[in-house]
Amino acid sequence: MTLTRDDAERAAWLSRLALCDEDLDRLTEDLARIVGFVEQLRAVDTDGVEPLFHPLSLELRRRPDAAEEGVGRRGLEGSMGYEDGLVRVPKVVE
Amino acid sequence: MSQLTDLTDLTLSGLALALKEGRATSREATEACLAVIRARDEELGAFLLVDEERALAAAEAADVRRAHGAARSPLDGVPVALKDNLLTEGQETTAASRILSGFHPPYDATVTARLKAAGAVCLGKLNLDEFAMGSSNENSAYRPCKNPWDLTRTPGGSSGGSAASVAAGACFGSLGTDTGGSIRQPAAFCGLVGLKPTYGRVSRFGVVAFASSLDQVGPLARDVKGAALLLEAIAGFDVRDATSVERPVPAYAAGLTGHVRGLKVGLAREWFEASGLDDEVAKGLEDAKRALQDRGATLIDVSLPHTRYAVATYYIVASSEAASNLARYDGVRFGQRRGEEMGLLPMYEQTRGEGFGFEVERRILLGNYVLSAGYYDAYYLKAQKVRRRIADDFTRAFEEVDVLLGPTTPTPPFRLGEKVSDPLTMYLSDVFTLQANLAGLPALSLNVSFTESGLPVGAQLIGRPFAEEGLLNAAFALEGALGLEDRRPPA
Repeated sequence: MTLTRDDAERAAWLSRLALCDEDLDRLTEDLARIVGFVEQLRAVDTDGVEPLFHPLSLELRRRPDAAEEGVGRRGLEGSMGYEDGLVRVPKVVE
Repeated sequence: MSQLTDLTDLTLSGLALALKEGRATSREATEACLAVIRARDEELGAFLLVDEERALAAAEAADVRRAHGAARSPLDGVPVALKDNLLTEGQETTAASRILSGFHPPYDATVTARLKAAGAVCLGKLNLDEFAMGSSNENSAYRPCKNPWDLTRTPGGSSGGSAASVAAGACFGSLGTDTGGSIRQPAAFCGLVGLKPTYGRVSRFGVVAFASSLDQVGPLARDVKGAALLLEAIAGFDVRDATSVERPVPAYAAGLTGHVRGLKVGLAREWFEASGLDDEVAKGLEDAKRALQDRGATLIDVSLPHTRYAVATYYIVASSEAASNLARYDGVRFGQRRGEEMGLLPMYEQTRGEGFGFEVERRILLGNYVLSAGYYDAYYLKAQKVRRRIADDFTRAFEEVDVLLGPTTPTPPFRLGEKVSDPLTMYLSDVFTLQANLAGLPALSLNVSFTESGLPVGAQLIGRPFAEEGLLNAAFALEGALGLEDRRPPA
């Protein structure tokens, strides 16, 4: 199964990436080669093998449900849409 | 030769000793580094940001502490620098991407805070491949970085600046990050010690995330002891990193003995039989094998049968995780913003399309493609199963041996421009380093030889989880036996 320009375009849409035609063409080529390369994994016998999503078997640590100091609103000051403690964005709902 | 030049020739532990014994001050060391940066960095491209004022103030404070017998740690007053994907409060942090141009973090990464607490003097932020994606530092959106041993060649990547700066004497140690080899490969290309700790050993809080199940922060230095001192300062549990492990931090530097009698060293046949392994790299490995054997270690053949699937596995897993992690760069809360006037979706698309470089776009696309409906099972899930097979290979090998020895890279440092146009060729050069990230194992590279034309050749040691002490000790033994740590790049 070869990766097509449509596939790349859809991936770009999923990725929220605006790409010019030239870039999309080049990326389609690159992706097709890479996906062709990774197809080799089909040859590996993985029957009954559990995926290893993470090198550590971790249990999610929890903390008491109490307010803590964090970065808070200071973290928003770097936004290019910052105005009086809020962040301006384009209309979300038409 | 002026005293300034002599100082920057020292190893990190050499400087630490000089500071302790009063033969040098932090101010002198810091000024010496800044002089190197001024003289060489325009050409070298190791730094993205240098903060002279802040560094000199920190140096003076360190000298005052020492004068009062109140040095905080062996690193107190030692000039270091940080890869620019490690957050530094109030200091621009870009991850070498346009999308984070002008981003001033409101907090320090845990590793940044720990180095500061140890008294280290931070000179500035180091160049890297954008978002740590690359093996040559050629993907930096700002400027290329060159190898001090040969300015026509790459210092490696993605922690190219971290390696070039130390090798050039612009700082005594640095921090990098390693997701698929990004500390070890530049260390090998620049003749340094570079260590990727066990996953979970060092906090990832405040590290610009690339692939969350693979990323680790680690030290680069000219000497094993220096790397050990840096690791000691940054390692340990951090409540703010959910993947941080609660385990005490050993005294890595003090524990170095160089005794390796009886150490069982595994040689994976798939690595040594790899086609494309350069002759001069192979020769360096022979030197390393001989040196360990001479010191009483035993060499044992082992097999890591899934080695050949490592590149494919890694690129699926890392790209998928990257696609998810980089979704946060949408122009809303921080970073650059474009296309706001066109609406919300266009704002996302323009911001990201303009802000990300080509390699980053490539990996995000690949990641979202393999995660999307219809492909998830065949690619992503499959890759994670092969990942377990790869990890199991190591578990089996470590039943017979204590450490694994092998090449870090298939070739000596390649020329700038040689590989950057073909992503697959670049990816294939990571074959020896990727596995340790997939399995979460500690791994380091150290210099074991030089090519006929004077380029560094590194070798890699991989250990069991949380066995950094043994790993560092084996490296210490090798370093002592090979006696190369005094060699410096041409001025």
